[in-house]
Formats: sequence, structure tokens, C-alpha cells
Amino acid sequence: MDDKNKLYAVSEQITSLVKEGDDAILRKLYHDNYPKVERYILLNSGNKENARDIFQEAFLSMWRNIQLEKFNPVNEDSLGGYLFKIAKYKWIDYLRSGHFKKTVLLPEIKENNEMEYEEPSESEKIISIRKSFELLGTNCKELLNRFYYQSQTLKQIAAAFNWTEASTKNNKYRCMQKLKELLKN
Amino acid sequence: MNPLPHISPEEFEEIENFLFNRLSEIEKVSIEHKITTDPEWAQKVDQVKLMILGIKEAAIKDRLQDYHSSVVKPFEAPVRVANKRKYWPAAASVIFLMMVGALIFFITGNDTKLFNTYYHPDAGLMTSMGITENYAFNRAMIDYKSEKYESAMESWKALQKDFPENDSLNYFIGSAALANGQAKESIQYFKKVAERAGFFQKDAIWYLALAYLKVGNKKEAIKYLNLSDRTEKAELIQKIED
Repeated sequence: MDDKNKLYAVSEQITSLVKEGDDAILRKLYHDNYPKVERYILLNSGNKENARDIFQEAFLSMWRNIQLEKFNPVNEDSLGGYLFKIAKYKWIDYLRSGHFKKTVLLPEIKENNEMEYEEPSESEKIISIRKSFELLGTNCKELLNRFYYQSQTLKQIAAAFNWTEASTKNNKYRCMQKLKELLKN
Repeated sequence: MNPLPHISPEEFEEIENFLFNRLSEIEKVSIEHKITTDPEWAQKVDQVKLMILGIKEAAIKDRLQDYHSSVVKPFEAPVRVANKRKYWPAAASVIFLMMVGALIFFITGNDTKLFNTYYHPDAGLMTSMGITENYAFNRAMIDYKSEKYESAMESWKALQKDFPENDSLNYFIGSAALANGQAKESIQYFKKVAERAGFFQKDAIWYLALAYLKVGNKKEAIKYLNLSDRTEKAELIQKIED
């Protein structure tokens, strides 16, 4: 399938579009699935802030697991179901944590004690890289974002920064080294 | 991530080319062989792969607040009590418009009245104009959101010639047609999307039912409403049957 076809085949290519970080698809997934999670958390001792935080964590886990090929959605429903499952798992985990020591767990929550969800082993490393990335300088963040996320070419990035292609390539390597240094700390 | 092996610029480029599928088959096989036989090399590949994912995840995380604000409507402050004298011309205009609306309502058929009550155009997709390959699709989406439905339809129909079975194109051509008052035309597009599992299937079923309602085909409208997952469906079926 050529690039053009891939970009238009939204419904048939959910996995690849989510992998590519397609804005339209991710926004639709967020929009369609947030209310259900919020309702669940509000009914189970949480507030709207909890709902937002848990849903966003779950959303990132879903995205990450698709990238790592730990989950392969076949349609919107399977993606929505998976997202809800992760959010539920994370919320139950949170309820059991110190934050909610005195909360009496509802029967429904107790029934879901043995939910089948496990964070992949790579998750912790990726989250740590993400947090270190936030600590990089503005130029490094922009350069790496443009190259790896927006899939811009070195030529396009060089033009945006008013650099040469060679120095863009060197700077990219240096930024990755800086990111590595931050990970060591 | 400890211990992190040193990766030279050349190795880095080679790994990146491998991960981005930019190598020839021979080079690819050579790297795959190194991954299986050299644990340090495998660790280097893994490290670069995870770093790229971490960078991408940071970009996704940045967007979430924006997504969230489009879900959660901002708090609406209570309306201040207005100075009656100052606002009476506006109030008179509103009453006049309501009267005109009521007149239109009474001279229009029941199916159209119901359609107008329940129909809200699909809000469309957010677009990222930075991706050049998506340009034509996104350009038309901007037209659609600007209510330039004719123009959006024209662009999407041109793309649809190459991808006749594409759900996104069929769904949005149908949406643009319905929003443009061309309910009959919208049916063929919504039908393609509604009749097979996919990302837009549920929305297509709802709009297909409304399009049938608009053209006066109550039987088909009810058939698709029964397949819809919208909360308003029972109420609408009841009103159609009354």
C-alpha cells in the first residue's frame, strides 16, 4: 500500500494511524472514550480531576502498547474496550494505593480484582525517557520532535533552524546524547 | 536504562536506518544477524528504539490537554440580570425570530421537523496541515468545517475516485451532502460505511437514519435507528411512529 492510500484509509488502518500519531484519529478516540471512563471513576469514589489523569495515563499506555505491538486493535470498539480496561485497571490500582486507604471498595471494584492487564516491561523505560526529554533545551526538543514525531527530513529541519543539513545531523546526534545523559542521572 | 552502551554516530545512523526500514535486504539481514549474535548490539538497537518511542510519547502527551478541552465544555458563568430597557430591542428581535421559526415549523412536514430537531452536522476531524500527503483531505475538511460543503464534496469526490471503498471519504462526502441539504445523495455514501464494521460505522448509521427521515422514508429510517447506539433513538422512533 502506498503512502497516499495509507493516509486516506482511516477506518481500515487504525493501527497504523495510531502508530503514526495521526491527530484526527487520536482526538476522536479521546473524544469518544473519555466520557465512559469519567462516568466510571465518578461512580467509584473519584472526581473529574482523577478521571482526566487516569484517562490520560491509560491513553498513553494504549498508544505505547500499540507501538510495542503488545496490542493490535481490529476496530474502534476493540480500541475503546482496551482503553477502558486499562483505565479501570489504573483506577483500581490508584484506589488501592495510599491515596484511598480509608475508602471502602465497591463490590464492582472488588470483582475486578483480577483484571487481565499488565504494563509491558518496556513501559517504565519509555516513561523515563519521556520525562527526561522534557528536561532537554528548547532547540533539542524541537529538533527531535520534528525529526522523530513529525517525520520531517533533515533538509526541512535545517531550513527551519537556518542550519546546514550536516550540522542538523550532528545536532540531532548531540541531542540524543544529551537525552542519554539525562537518563543516567 | 543502565548501563547504557556508547553508540557512535555511525552506529546510530545504521540503527536508525534499520528501525526506519531504510536498508537494503542484505544490510537488514546483516543487522538482524548482529542483533541475535551480539548482545551489546541488541542492547544498542533496543536503546535507540525506546528513545524514539519516548520522544514520540512526549509529543502525544503534549496534545492530551488540547484533546481534553474539546471534550469538557468550559464552565458557563450565570447570565447577569440585564437592564430591561437597554435590552428590549434585542428581546423583540428574538421573539420575532421565534415567531418566524414557529411559522416555518408549522408549514414544514413532520419528517423534516423531526430531522431538523435531531440533526446536528458531524463536527468533522481535526486536521494537521503539516503532513503534505494529507493535504488534499485536510484542505477539504477545513472547507467542510467552514460550511463550504459543495467545495468539500468536490475535493473528497475527486479523492474517492481512487479509493471508492474508503470509509473516511464516503462518510465525509455523505456528511457534507446531508449538511448541504442533499439527503438523497448522502444515503449512498452513508450506506457504504454503515454496512460494515469500521471507525465511522456507528455515526454513519445515525446519519443514514436521519437522511432517510429527511427524504420521507420512515421505514428505512426506523430500520437504521434500531441499529444505532444513540441515546435519542428510542425517542425519535416513538415520534416517527406517532
